[in-house]
Amino acid sequence: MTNDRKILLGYLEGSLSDPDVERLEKRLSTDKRLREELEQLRSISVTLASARADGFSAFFAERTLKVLWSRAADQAVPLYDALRWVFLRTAVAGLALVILLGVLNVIDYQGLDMASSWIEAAFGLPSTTVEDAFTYGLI
Amino acid sequence: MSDAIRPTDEELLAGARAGDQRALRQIIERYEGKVAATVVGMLGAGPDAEDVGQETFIRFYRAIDKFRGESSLATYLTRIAINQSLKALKKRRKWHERFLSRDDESLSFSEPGESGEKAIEAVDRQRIVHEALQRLNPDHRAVAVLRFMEGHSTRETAVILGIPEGTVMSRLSRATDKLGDLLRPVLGAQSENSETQP
Repeated sequence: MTNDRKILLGYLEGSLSDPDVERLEKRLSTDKRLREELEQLRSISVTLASARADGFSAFFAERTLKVLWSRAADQAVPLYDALRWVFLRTAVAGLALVILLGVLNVIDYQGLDMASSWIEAAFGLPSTTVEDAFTYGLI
Repeated sequence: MSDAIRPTDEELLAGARAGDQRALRQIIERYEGKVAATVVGMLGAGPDAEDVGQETFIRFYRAIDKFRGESSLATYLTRIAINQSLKALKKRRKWHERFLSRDDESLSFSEPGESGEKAIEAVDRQRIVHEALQRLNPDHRAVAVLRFMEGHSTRETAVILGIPEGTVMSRLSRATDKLGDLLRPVLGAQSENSETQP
């Protein structure tokens, strides 16, 4: 973008400082090309402003509110939220059940002295090595 | 309605937040013109524009508690309207790419065909302006609509679009270059009319 264009846009917007305005107006009085460019920008600005839409068709507010309330009724609980609610609770309940079973296993196995570690006890694993398992045909 | 009994935006917002439908309706009626100017400028007149206008107010209402009043309600709604319009334009472009060839797309702009000397009716002028806007890149169009059509300052335009002021100026410059060519017949008529004005 040329600096002139930036200055002209600022001039039309009214955002130039007083000394800048004075400098530009001095140039405009002698520079025909700059005057034409300003006129072009001003015409574009005026033309666009005059083509501004004032509103939508009649009863827009009523139609918008109707759509809003019908969507609110249809999506009182959006599907994603509903599924998240169900899955979150199922996951928490499942995890709690696994922990509970593990604790019960630990209590049972330790009482029977059948596990060599609490991990074996928690998962209900037989107290054996892989070598023993092969030897005794467990796997 | 006189200003003395006209509720302020803050009062209407408080009412709408509390579930007062009349307050929400008044907000829509008060800002319909503002949203329409943005959306129609971005998309052109038609059912698409009205849908996006409705979506703007629906999104605003759904997030009404998030509006903290850091900007004016008009600016806030304009930002939503611009974002929704850009989203609709993306959808429209995908549709065009899928179902229309580039040749078909270029035919959607009907050339004015009239000479600059002939008076152009207001309706025609409006149509030509909107068709010319449709020919701009959406980013450049957004700047032209906000800055020229709605009269926002460069700074406000930058805030609404979330871009630096320098970018607003450079996009505006490119937009005016193209609009200068596209609107030549209308600009001729316009400058003839404005010669009498200061």
